[in-house]
Amino acid sequence: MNPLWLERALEFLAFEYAFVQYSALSAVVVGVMCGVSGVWMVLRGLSLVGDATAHATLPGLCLAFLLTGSSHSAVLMGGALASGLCAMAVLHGLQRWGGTRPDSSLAVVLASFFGLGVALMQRVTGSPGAARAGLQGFLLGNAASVTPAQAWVLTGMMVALIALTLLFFRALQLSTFDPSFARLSGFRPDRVRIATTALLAIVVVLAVRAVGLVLVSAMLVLPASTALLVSRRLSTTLLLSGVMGGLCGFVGAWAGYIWQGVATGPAMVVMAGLIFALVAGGRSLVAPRQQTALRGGL
Amino acid sequence: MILWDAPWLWRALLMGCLVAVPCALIGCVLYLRRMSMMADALSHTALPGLLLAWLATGLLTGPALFAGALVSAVVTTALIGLVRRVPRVRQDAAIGIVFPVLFSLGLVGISTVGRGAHLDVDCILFGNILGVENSSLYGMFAVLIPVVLLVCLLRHPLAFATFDQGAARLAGLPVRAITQGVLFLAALVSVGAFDAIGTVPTLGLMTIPAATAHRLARSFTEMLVAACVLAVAAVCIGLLTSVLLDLTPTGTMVVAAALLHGVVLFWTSRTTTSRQSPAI
Repeated sequence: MNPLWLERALEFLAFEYAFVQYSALSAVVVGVMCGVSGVWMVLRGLSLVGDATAHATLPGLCLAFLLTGSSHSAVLMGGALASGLCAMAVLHGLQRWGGTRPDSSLAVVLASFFGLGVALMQRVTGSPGAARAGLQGFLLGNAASVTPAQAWVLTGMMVALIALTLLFFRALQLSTFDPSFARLSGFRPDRVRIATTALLAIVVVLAVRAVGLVLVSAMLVLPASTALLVSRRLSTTLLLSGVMGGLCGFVGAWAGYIWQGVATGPAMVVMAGLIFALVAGGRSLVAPRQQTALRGGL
Repeated sequence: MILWDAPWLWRALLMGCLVAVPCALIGCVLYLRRMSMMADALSHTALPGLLLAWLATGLLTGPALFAGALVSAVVTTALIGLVRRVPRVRQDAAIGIVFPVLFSLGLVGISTVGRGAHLDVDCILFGNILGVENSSLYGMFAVLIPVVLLVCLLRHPLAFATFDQGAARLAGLPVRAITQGVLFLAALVSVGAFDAIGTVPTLGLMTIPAATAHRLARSFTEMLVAACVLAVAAVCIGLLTSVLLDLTPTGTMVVAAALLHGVVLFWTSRTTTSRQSPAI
């Protein structure tokens, strides 16, 4: 065992430095947020919508930076949110009025928006100053660069998200599983759907800084899918998914501290993939296999 | 314009067209098989495949590239198939579970064991079409020939197996082998296009021209031709615009493809009135 490796691992756990505390806090918080909101996305069959939205934040980030010239995180986040919501609107329009197939419309929206962001990147990297470094952090995520204020804002958003989930649990549950029954029970499943989708955009934008926009979708899908394997109750699923997301966030921040050059985002996703593989492997040993003889595609 | 004298522009145009044609051809097949998001997965998992090839051989050209594509295609499709077979995993989630993990492994790999390989994140995501080396130009040419030959010569059995899998199986076509072959070709194109135009622009050239061509064409052959023309047009328009406006070339190509898609969508929407229930 490498002594330097062990030394750095213990150094992180001692939480001696403030930036270590804040990076761990923000990674855990982002993991929990993604875990909780990911459950609704996976249950609604929107697993890949998170991927498209996350990629679609890039043009917003670039435009916000180019137009205002500031790399203040509030400005960048605002741009990212605007373009994420815009991508969702285009996706909705393509599927509803364009008659495009769901999988193709996802790929088209993802590629077009990200392409626009990539096109603008030339201008961003051509601009002087440390400002562009702020944008680079969004691509692969860098929890270590989170300031204390941002970490506390993230924590506040997590608390708000959990409170909203608890408050509207019944409405969310009914309109996810049975929209017609939800309507009969006096809820408005259409509004719930729009609200959940908008909330997804907000969570994605908040998570982009810590996980990176390429990998946000994985943190939405992996903890939720793992929790859905284990539990049959929605409340337990939400709890497990949130806990797993937080755990992955912690491990990601830890690994990023131990090995120089390893970004937080990829480390989080590798950890989540490992947990999923273990749980899925264990489950297929325990539970009998599904019929998969006649399934198209793969 | 002085631009016409610049050899780098012609090189970039050549490389762009070499990438665009196989991307468009394989993109049509993926589109019709409702596997557009597999293009997303394969274009990302090209990274761990390349890294493995580099770790094994120390090369990032020729046969190593080919082996990397083979490994990434086989591993990705096998893992997605495996995850789909796990009880109670959502079908669409399987793709979203597998490829980010493989891509992350690749990213962690290049920042630890693969520091010596010339793979950096900006290049992976955005590509560097204005600075292509001869080796990647030849490499892409070597990818182009088998893809064009296979898709064009085998387009009838390919269409049969794509549109009616059951009947094709009864008629004795090796349906599973065709599916695997399509995914392998897609991975090969992704890997070939990787260092020239990057991950997500590859996805753009694979999916957008195919979706546009589907709205225009009335037969499989027409769709293949239309997709190729659209992709080459997007590459040319995008490249010239990017040079004139100082934008990233690869991203501008994708934006050009998206604009062409928008124009065609607007043009054809007056004649067709299909409505589908939206997912979001």
